[in-house]
Amino acid sequence: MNTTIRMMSHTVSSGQTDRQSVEESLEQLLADIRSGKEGAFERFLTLIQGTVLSFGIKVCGGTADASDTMQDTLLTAFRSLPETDIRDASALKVWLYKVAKNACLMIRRKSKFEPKAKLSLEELLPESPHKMDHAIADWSNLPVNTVLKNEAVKTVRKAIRKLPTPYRLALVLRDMEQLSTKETAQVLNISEETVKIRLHRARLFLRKELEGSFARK
Amino acid sequence: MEHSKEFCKKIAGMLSEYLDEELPPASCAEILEHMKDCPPCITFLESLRKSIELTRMATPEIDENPPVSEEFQANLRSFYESFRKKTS
Repeated sequence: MNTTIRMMSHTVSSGQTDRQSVEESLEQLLADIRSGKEGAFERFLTLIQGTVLSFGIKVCGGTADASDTMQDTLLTAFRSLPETDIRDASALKVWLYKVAKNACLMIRRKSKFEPKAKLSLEELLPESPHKMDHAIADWSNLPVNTVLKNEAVKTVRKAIRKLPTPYRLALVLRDMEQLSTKETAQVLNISEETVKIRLHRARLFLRKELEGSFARK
Repeated sequence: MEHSKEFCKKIAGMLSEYLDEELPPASCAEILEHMKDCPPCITFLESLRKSIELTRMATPEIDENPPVSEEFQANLRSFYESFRKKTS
């Protein structure tokens, strides 16, 4: 067994299939490890490194912090894994994100740029949808593969960094990592109802930032 | 169908759960009924849907190889040994 682990180039796409693929890949890899298949352990580590690194970048914002997070996470994982039921891929996935989230929170607490505000629903909703400027709202009909779409994605990335951590975590886990509401609640150790509230406010915040961005163009 | 400011806000408050298909059927029916005759709420729904779509596209690409510490590698080796014992 060659235990030299290379950090891989990792490109993460998005969509429902990713949630399935992480879990399915974990299941397959655990089966391969149990049957002693060559290279299975390296592939397993590559998958969890990639998952944790990608999550760290989304939550912490920078690659350096995320890389630290990834290493902290995996070191913590080695110490706590013997008590974890790693035979269940779904439980392993929830455990993995829990460890990654805790590592991210440690880093973000040290950051002076951490947004502290809570998101108020009143401020995120228009006084009434009837008051929306339809010329501005038309940004939602933008065709894909346009310069404007790329600008919009940049706006979203900036807006995610402005989100207070509890909202950012809910958004990243649900809309980017494609975890279910139940899994997200387990990772964050909160109720499913609270996940839904935070997710909705985070989405409304992003919607408002996008609207503001297109209004300036 | 009601189109008061407060009712439109109530509808707006349910739209994430609606898009996630996590609303009870009665609430879904209420939204669909309201949307039949409320273009501003349809626009609001579409803008929320688009925001979610753009968030999914905003996943960062990671294409560099961050350095790995010796401590990390050493822990990896001991992890592998305990992992083998646990899974065998």
